[in-house]
Amino acid sequence: MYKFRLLALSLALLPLALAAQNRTVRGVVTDDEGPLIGASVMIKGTNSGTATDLDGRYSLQVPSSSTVLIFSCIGYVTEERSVGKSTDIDVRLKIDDNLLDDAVVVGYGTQSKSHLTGSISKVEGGGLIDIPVSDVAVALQGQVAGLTITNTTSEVGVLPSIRVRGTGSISADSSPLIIVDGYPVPDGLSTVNASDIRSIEILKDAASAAIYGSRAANGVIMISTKSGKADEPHYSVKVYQGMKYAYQLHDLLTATEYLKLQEYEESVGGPAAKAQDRAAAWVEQNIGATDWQREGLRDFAGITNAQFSVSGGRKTMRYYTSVSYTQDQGIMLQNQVNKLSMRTRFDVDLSPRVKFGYNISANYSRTERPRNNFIDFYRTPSFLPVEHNEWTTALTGYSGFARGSHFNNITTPTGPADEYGNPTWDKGSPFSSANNNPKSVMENTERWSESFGGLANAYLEVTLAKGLVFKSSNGFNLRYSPSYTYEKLNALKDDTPSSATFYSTLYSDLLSENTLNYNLTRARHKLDLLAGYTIEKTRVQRVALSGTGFPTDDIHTLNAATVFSLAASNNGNNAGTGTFRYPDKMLESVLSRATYSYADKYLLSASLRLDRSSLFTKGNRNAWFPSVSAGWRLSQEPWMQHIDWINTLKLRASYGVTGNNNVNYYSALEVLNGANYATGKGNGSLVSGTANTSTTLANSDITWEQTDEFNAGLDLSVLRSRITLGVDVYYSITRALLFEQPTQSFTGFTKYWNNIGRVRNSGVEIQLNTVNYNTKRFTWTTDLNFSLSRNMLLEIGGEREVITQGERNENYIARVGEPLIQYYGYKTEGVWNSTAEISANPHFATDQPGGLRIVDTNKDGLLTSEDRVALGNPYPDFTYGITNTFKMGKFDLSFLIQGVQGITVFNGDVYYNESHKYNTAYLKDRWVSETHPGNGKVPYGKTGTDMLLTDYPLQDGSYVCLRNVVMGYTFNAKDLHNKLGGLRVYLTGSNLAYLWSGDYKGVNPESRMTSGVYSSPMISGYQRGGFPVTSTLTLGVDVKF
Amino acid sequence: MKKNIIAIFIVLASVVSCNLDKYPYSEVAADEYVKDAKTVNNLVIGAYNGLYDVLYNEWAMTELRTDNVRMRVNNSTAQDTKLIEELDQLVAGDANAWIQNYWDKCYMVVNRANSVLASLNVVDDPTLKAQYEGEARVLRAWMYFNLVRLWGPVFIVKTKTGAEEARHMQRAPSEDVWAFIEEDLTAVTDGKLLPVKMADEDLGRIDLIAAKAMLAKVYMTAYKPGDTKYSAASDLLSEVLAACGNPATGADLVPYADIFDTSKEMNAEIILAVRYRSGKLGIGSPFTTLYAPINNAGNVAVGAPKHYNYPSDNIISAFNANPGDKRKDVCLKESYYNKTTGATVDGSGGRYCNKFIDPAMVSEWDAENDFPIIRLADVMLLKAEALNELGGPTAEALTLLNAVRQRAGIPDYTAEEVGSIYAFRQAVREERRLELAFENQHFFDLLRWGTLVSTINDYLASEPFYGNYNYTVNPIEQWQTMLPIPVSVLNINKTVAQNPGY
Repeated sequence: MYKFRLLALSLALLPLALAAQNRTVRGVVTDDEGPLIGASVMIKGTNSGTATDLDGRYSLQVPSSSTVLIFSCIGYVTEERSVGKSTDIDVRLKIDDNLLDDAVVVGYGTQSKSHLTGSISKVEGGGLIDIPVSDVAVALQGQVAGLTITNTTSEVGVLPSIRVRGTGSISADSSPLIIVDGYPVPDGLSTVNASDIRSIEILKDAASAAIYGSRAANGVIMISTKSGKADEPHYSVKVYQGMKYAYQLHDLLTATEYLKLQEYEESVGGPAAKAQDRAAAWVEQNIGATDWQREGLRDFAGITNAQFSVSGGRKTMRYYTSVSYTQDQGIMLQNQVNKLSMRTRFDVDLSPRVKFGYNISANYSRTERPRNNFIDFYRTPSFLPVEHNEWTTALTGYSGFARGSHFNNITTPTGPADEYGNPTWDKGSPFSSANNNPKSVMENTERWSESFGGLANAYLEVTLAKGLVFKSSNGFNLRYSPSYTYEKLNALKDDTPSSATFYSTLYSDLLSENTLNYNLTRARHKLDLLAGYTIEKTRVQRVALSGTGFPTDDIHTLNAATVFSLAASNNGNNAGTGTFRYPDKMLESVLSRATYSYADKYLLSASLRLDRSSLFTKGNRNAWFPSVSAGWRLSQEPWMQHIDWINTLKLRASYGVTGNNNVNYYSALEVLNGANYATGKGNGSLVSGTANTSTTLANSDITWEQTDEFNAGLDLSVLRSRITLGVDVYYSITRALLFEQPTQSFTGFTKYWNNIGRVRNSGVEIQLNTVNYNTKRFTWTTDLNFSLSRNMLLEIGGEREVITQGERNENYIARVGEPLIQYYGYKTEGVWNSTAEISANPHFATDQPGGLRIVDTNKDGLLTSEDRVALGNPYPDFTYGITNTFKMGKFDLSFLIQGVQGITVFNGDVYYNESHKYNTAYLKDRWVSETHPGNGKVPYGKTGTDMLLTDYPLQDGSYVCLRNVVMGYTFNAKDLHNKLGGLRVYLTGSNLAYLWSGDYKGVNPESRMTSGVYSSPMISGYQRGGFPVTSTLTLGVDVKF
Repeated sequence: MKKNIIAIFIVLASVVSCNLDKYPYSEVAADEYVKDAKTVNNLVIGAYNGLYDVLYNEWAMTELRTDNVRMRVNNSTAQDTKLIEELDQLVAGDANAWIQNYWDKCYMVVNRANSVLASLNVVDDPTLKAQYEGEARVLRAWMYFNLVRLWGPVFIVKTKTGAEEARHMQRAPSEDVWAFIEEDLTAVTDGKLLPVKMADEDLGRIDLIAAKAMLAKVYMTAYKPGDTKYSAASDLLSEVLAACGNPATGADLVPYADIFDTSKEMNAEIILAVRYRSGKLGIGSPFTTLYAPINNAGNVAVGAPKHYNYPSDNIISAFNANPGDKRKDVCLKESYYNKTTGATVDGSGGRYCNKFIDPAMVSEWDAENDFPIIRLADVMLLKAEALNELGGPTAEALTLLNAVRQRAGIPDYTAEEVGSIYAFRQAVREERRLELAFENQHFFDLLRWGTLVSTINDYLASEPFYGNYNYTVNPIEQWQTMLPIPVSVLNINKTVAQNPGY
């Protein structure tokens, strides 16, 4: 109908055009990358027109100034321009990412977006390249509904946590499968350079992911890299330089300020100022206060990136190659990442029926991380100098780096006044820590890891008959990752020996994928069939070695150690170091998929995969992963055609099964390790023995964890696609949950893996894109994404609940019928004000005024462990991201606001005396005495019941931040007198504003640092003194020629 | 063309050949491993290895809960200190990690012993088969001996037990546990499963004498009035003493300091010890690092010691009652000399348990000292005690008691001084306390004598240290002498009974 009217209109205009005088219009058609070759320039309403040449130039005779030119090119948004009086019309075509027939990468193939029946989100690579990070995952933060990226530490070089649609599993790993150009690469997001990325597809629903079977339960992230186009070489150089700073630090009192507070508190009936605090203040008044937080941070942290790429091709071959170098420094001292990556992609048409290509990438990175956590800096009192000066040497007798215990039993003039009113000399120990000060620890230790990676993948694609294509893709991925820690003599404490530990991991993965694809179009029927066989062999070879007793601090490498250890643990178990582990695993799979559409309206897709894994014992090895999905493009129905304002409308529904095999090798098979003893005369000598030294009882019955998921979605675009909306709802049940369950330890073991339990996940994801303002001079678009997910534990091995102790004393509960994991402990109602109040109410024997008051939740008149209750969960209520993009001529501005709402964090700072002693967040309004109870909520120091057992450390970790701002100015070739193909200058900022709840007492609500060894999937939401949020300002230049 | 493609396909598929059964292979699968005497011997050694974990926690269950030992400082808010503080005051709850660990590790050794017993059929040599069975059964009995004394009724696990079966098991009555211990030990002693003395290269493994001594101790502990077990114990102890040359004076004995000397290990005094070896082999003794003074700057021991197992004022006065007692200086120190500052460190920072300190230790947690489990003086005093309980203070009993005192360099008791059953009983008990101080015996002795509650309460009231807590340290009651069943056990099976009071 529309077409007919257009035609009629053109015909009506034709005589007018013919009547006018001919003249010439010329110009250049470009895209974001440079000139477009072969773009069509047509006179509207006619068949006449031309195509652009190799430089993107055109010239065309036009009949009149009322002529309208249509600029089009496949894959780009068509533009119309009235000629008017101009003779030069340059057009920059936009890549059409809203175009419904945009190709979307799916497992083992591509599909047009309009025909998708599953839930797949696509992120164009272009949106990521301006964000200055050394890890692409960080740039994805807040960009996609249903994809949660959390920077668990601000340190650079540490992979963020990546979750697709919440948490599916509580024991097996919840990280998604990452595929780079068809190849599974576990650390893909951090090894691929952002500007090499063409697009990232996130396969969210089980139906889309089921083709990856046993590894897909946590979602699949597919990265596609750029390839060349048949064209002249295009060169691109990109350089940026940024600087970073800590967004906010803890507000700490100096020792002198703290003494003043103590004296004030004493005057209002609080505890008397302590001798140690008087001594500390006295020392500080003599030497000045040290700002320890600043001591831990760099004066200037920077990020530098330089990259170069060239792409192009001839008629039958295409290439893309790039080199990139990044140096990224964390704000913390000794935190730095250096990365070098190279990538080459080459595709050639050997004949019209045979295509061949390869994809080779190599990368190197070196990551340095500080030996200590930031908590060591903000808990060190200000009176302690970094290094002794003459005055403190005279006082303590020590020189060099100062240490708390150097000030033990120092004599200070801080005693009570004598009869003449002069202070008497007193003995005090202001800070008796045996640890060396954190700055000296940093200077005397090193900790780095390196990674050498290489991936090569080659494919051969043969068209066997019309519509029948065979593709074989084979490759290997190798990664060698050594890591090293070194501590000088006396580095951590006095008399700790010099020591070094070396770990290395050699990861190798061989993959062969062979698929047959058959494509058939008959009238209104379209059928696409896929069958494939894949086999993958993964080996992870680990070596660990440690040595002590270095004769000199000048040689840090292990060869200089005098004693090499078989063991480093303190109770005889030789776990950890001196070990060599060599497990292999193999995955063999058969896969198939059928996609059918009728009249481009009714869409149907089904897939089935069979996986066989060596991780499980013979009978439990095979698993089938089916999926079905359907779609209905209502907007294609004739009865919808007349609704002009609706451009597209599609309903989708899918069901699929995916699996999770992220269990370790020792879950199913009982294995023996060395367990030695000493016998013989005299001191005896080592005799070898063997035992099952694992604490995990092998369970040969375990098998895949499986997730069944339903997904329903709607895609709508209205008002000439100015508003597009995507909504997905999902509901999934993970069954045969792989859970590491505690067992009765009288079996000799404390836990075992079992397929018990079910978890339900459900949620809503909304993606809304609007073009708010669209004129030639000014455009404004808004992209909003919103995700909400809920989980519930349905069953856990027949237990009603499982309680896990966390890093310290805090507890977590997994209780049937409630969220997967919840914090567990005592509920508090403020603090005890007086001994009278304590004795009149249910209390613990150790309760004191100023300590936390526990609620007798079961109202039995006694406080017992029965009064513990669930205290909230570590999952957010919802997360969101909003990007606004403005373009005014050659100037562009975009900013992303990202937030997480309703999340509760467990702030472990309360565990450490010192970490809240000077911290105003814990001093303000605290209880001081019966008459000065503060606000009745803040306890005095660590008085009374262990705070870790209560809800006191639970804080609201919601935040909203200005994640990225990008401001750029683009010169086109003409501006540059055609000396360059294009130039863009831009300024970006990250985390320039970051707001969190007043309830939160730390400096980084995203931080989830724990001391690694304690971390368990049943422990979530614990934060222990993370590094501050990092803000970044960057200036960048892109040049094309 | 098609044929070529198919050929390529086949080549590629065969390159990545597929055998799903051979992975992983850096460890040996337990079921394929056991095939001959050598591999069973390795399992036996593996069971001994488990003792390291047991001993690491044992002091906190035993010595710490007596009048011999306490914390160094009170009112510390450090979390690990708190757990130990609770044990010290006998108020530890069922979530205490030290209790959990000790429980876990004892059962870990039980499980390893059970693995040995289940593998014996592949051992052809009858002597070796008997020996491995004997060692495994004594190790198992030893662990149950600890478990039943600390917890009373416990779970009896005789064979490899799966998680499902374990979930439904219940604690066996104490009598059954004692019977199980006796069954294992008598099977060894009656059946003479073990060599009387181990060959030189096997010194340190359990021999028949050690098994007999352990059985005697079991009888001494499980004694109830009217029972004949004191006499059964007495007979066994005589056999052990005879095997050790029937010492009658202090001169017959190894000098006290030499017993613990790292250059004189497995000396004639030692009947059974857990054997440690330094040299970063993973089998070093942890006690130097656990017990040496904190911040001693390398003057007592290298590294960052914990200063646990801190000698009480009470035991220092007990040693001081006999001036010149040579044992005091071996057992504990009240100060040390700081070579750097030239000062003597005394007071709370200077006192420490010296018995298992290895001054030659090169790196933390890696000392040489063996830890005696049963030694000659222990047997002599048990024998003296048994004789006294059976028929009053006989001459033989007095000889044995005085031999121990002679070695310590303190005066003999005269027959008059310890003339009554009561007086002798008091004397032998006091002697055991000092002779075996810090060797994890005192708690079990007090329990056996039924004097634990009164001793602890006198101690808590008289040791000034406990008055300085910022809360009241309460006297204990009888139920507190038993440890709570770890909460992990009850979490899995709610029908398991907790010990009374918890």
